Amino acid sequence: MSPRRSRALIVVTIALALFSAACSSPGGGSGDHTLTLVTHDSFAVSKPVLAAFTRETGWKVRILKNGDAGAALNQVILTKGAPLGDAFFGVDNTLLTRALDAHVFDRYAAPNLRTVTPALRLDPTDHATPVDFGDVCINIDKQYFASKSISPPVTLDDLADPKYKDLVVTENPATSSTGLAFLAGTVAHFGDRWTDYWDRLRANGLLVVAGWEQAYNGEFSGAAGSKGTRPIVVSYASSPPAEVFFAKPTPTTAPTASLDQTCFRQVEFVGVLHGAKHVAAAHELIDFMLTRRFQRDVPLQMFVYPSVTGTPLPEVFTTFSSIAPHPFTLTPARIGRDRRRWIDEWTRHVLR
Amino acid sequence: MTTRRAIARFALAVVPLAFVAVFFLWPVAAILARGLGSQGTFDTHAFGRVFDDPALLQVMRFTVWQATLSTLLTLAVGLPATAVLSRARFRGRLGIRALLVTPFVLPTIAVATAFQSLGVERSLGAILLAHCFFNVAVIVRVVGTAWDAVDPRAEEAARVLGAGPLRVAWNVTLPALRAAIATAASIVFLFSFTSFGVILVLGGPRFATIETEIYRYTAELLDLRTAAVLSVLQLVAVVAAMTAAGFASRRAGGLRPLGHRPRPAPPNARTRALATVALLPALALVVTPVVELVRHAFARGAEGFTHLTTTPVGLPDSPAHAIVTSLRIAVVATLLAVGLGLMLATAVTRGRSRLARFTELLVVLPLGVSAVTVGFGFLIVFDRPPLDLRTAWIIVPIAHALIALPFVVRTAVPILRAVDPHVRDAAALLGASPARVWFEIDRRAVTRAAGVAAAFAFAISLGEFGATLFIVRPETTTVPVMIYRLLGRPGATNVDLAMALTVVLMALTATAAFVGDLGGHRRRAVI
Amino acid sequence: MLRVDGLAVHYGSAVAVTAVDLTVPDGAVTAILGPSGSGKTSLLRGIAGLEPLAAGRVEWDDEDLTARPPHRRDFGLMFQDHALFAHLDVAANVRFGLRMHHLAASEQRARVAEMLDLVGLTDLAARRIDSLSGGEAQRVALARALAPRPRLLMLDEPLASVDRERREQLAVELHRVIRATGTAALLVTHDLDEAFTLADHIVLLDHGQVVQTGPAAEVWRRPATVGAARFLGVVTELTLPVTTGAAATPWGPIPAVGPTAWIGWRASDLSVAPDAPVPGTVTAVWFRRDHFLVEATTAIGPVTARSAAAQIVGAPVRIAATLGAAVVLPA
Repeated sequence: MSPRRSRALIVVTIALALFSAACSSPGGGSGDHTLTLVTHDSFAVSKPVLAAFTRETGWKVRILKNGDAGAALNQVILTKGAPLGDAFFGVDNTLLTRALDAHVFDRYAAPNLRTVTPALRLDPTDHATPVDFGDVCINIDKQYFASKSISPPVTLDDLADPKYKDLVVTENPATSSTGLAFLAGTVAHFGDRWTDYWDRLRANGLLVVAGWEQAYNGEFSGAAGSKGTRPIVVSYASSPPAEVFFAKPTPTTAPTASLDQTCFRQVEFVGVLHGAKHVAAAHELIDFMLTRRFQRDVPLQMFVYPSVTGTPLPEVFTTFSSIAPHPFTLTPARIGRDRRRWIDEWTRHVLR
Repeated sequence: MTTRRAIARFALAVVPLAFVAVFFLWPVAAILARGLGSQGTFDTHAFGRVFDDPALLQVMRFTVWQATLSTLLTLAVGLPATAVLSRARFRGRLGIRALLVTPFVLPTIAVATAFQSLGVERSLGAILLAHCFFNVAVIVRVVGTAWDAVDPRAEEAARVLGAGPLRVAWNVTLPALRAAIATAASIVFLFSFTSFGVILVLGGPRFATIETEIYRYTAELLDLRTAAVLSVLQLVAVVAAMTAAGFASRRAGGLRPLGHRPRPAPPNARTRALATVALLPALALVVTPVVELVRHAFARGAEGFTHLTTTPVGLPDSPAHAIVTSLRIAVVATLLAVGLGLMLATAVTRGRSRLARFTELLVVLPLGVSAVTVGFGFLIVFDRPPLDLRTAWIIVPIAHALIALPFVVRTAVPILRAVDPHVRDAAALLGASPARVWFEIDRRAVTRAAGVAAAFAFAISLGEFGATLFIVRPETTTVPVMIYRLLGRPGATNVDLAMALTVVLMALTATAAFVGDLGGHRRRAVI
Repeated sequence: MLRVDGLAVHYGSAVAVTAVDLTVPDGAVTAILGPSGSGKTSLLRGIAGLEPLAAGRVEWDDEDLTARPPHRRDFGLMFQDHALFAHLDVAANVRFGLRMHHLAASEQRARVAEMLDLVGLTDLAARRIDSLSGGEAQRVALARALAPRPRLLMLDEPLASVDRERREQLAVELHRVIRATGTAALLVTHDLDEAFTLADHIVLLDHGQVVQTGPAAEVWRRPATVGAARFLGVVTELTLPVTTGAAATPWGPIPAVGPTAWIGWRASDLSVAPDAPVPGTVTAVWFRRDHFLVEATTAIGPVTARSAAAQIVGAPVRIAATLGAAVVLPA
């Protein structure tokens, strides 16, 4: 190729690249009527719902995803002086005290806060508004137990039964919020003797992996496309409906089930960031998050349950899952105070 | 005349070095300072506290242990293969070489999934195998290039003097290659030491390295102090490894530019068998996971591929859009990395060896610092306009460029060095001004270096996962991150889609890397 | 005319060339001759402007070129390793300098054809560089260097990579081409044959300093120092006292100056002849195609002489000498 031609080609390529790159930069930044929502990777909202918000309020929403819930919160805390956005969604009850103690939120009591299920309103100071909740429960592979003619476990204690030796997989609470929630559940249920329980689980051949993904898609036999061999996993109450929803073709019964008596309730909050540029817009967003339109969208987007009482659930949820009537709970303050110690002790008892 | 040249060289080096300083050194220094000096005084007790913690000590021991084992295993698998590839001449040699180099840029998450799919148990062995998979490429490239340049006459002389083949290998060949082996080993050690995705996925919770602990302490616990101590320790280890390699490089000798290409002995059955035995482990290790991944993706009738253009529920983009985004980011990152890298490579080739060593060390540093440290450093450093880049789209390409920069410089320098200075002198005396000399002579080498380096930088950016995950991503989902997210949800369609995306990603990165490696081996002289 | 004044080239703390003065007249070939490591190539590069000068001046026709960059000196350089542009073909290589001087396209074509014809490579105009033989490559290098009509052509060991038989032929051709173009030529070599075949003037260089300059015949017959003499082929040496303006050699008196004289002969100046004055005993014999080289011990010491016929080691011989060819230097 002649030097002139190759030069031209280079120039054209560079121009194209820069042009397309510039075009891809979304939203033009936080000027002109755009409010920024900082959140974690699992946040999802369907486009029509978000569009409705923009239509009604005139505000465009720019979503920043910063890793998992813990990492996202820590980044928010780190940037307290100059926040990355206007509102932060994704603090859950295990992290709530950390957020509140760091004073990252400003107080805002949404007018429709009263529609939220009272048990979920864990922040009496109204710095954090509950938007959804999920239950971390034991999931089982129904097929496995049917084929082996073993009765499946029902309670936490059952998991330590030799009948279920080498069948359980869970996540490391140090690296997985799912694992941490489950650990909290065992603390709530067993009180001071929770370490004994874990000793028993360990003796019963418990498998621990780093995160939910490996546990569920890697080790759990009931997950679609998984080569896993363990039929008992720590997952969510919404996992069975998810299995049905994402299966092809759609089955009539769920292949997995969630054990109601093993659930720990995780509540998820949103709050206005202290020092936000568009405070009024953040308020409007929080209000919007408690409206029926948004709440109805939540289950199939994030596979959690809406916090507003009486929100209709999609069919796949009503058919294939149920909301645990008596989940384990602990106060956010307790969790905030003791989690580090729990993780250390758990590590000593289970891993080392 | 020389002072002008020296100033020009300095100017050339300043821009890329400034880039590294602003986007890497500054954020890292800031976050370390925040961790170690939060009370306004430098907290040396923090180090003591870390060394008093038995769990952390165990983590450090394990990190060194697994990195050492990984290096040894990689050398054991890679050196014989390199020997065959350098010494023997057979059809498809270059293709096999390119194949062995490709794994390096493959996304960790894809490979880890493939290993799991193969049923490899989560264990230290799995970690070592995965490290070997990725890093055989380093041995093949670094030692292979050096081996090609070894003067065979020294070996021939030894053989004439009565040394058997093993003694020749031990007394003549190995010392000549010592520098290259030391360099390659230190690079493999560095990568294994700072490995994150592999440890996390294939190691499971029982295995923690300094890198995974840094992530935990920074992102999860916001214990910046402990994280800072660990980061400093990691940096020290990295610098020590690179320095040791540099030291070994300098002391080695016996490498001379090749006078004549030896005619290899005609292969007999025995040498062919030996060659196969030497080459097989490396090939098997590299090919098997890839084959498995493809098989897994197509196992259920290529379902996932049909959904590439639809937006999955709960995700902001369709996979096709993520592919486009990844490509766009890769283009910008490549332009940055190649532009800056070539400037640096030019300054290094024209300058003195001390500058070269310093540059090499500086440029490699980003690989020795955890991405989460850099990411968090960004957050506290770029928080005020006009430099409020924390949520700008360009942060991701910048991060990718920082990671690709050492590879660009490493690839470009030998190509640029190969320009015969006499040819430049000849052109000058024929009337070509320095700019003209560059245009007529160096430009070709530069273009070639740029092409090869661009292919690698592109592949690296496409497959980059760890850093991208830790950096703010305003609605830009790259393919590796999307794969990670899809695998983070239950449901068959998600897994299918993730597998399909993985295959697409691997095809893209592998092609780019393959093309790049072949381009770097063209026989025809450039100048 | 090139004039070099007090030129010095240093590499860091190492001194390659010290205080060299020389002139290169137009239309003639000057050779810088010296052993390896004597600084020849550094001197050449210094004159070309490729190395910075530690001291001294380079002038052409009284114009000071010292500060001028190499691409504006109008000098040509033919490298020992040819340094051809591998990405261009033969014709494009030759055309390169013409392009740099912005000649019109038609002029370029004409000149390229002319140069290729001059070196006898017209048929190879479109050939790739890597397919050329050593001799062909050398001729391309020559054509390329001469094409832009440099006022000075410098050659770095031009015949080094050529085998012996062709060397004479190529030297003659080189001479012809240089004469035909009327260029001043400066060549650098360690090879006596190369220098004395090609050059009209010789500059002897040793350890970075000029030992002697002068017309080739003059330098050959009258080397200025013992070291130069040895370099130029003197193998039989004699040190004798001088009485009444002459040193008494076994073959006769030779005029000399000083209390003692050093007398040297080349092997070609001594011969084995039946009635020669000096007897000796053969210690070694070598066959040298058209003669035999004979080493013998004599009363005055070891001598090396030529013999038409073979000799036997240990046999007695008689040595004759050409008195007029002796090199005489004060000792």
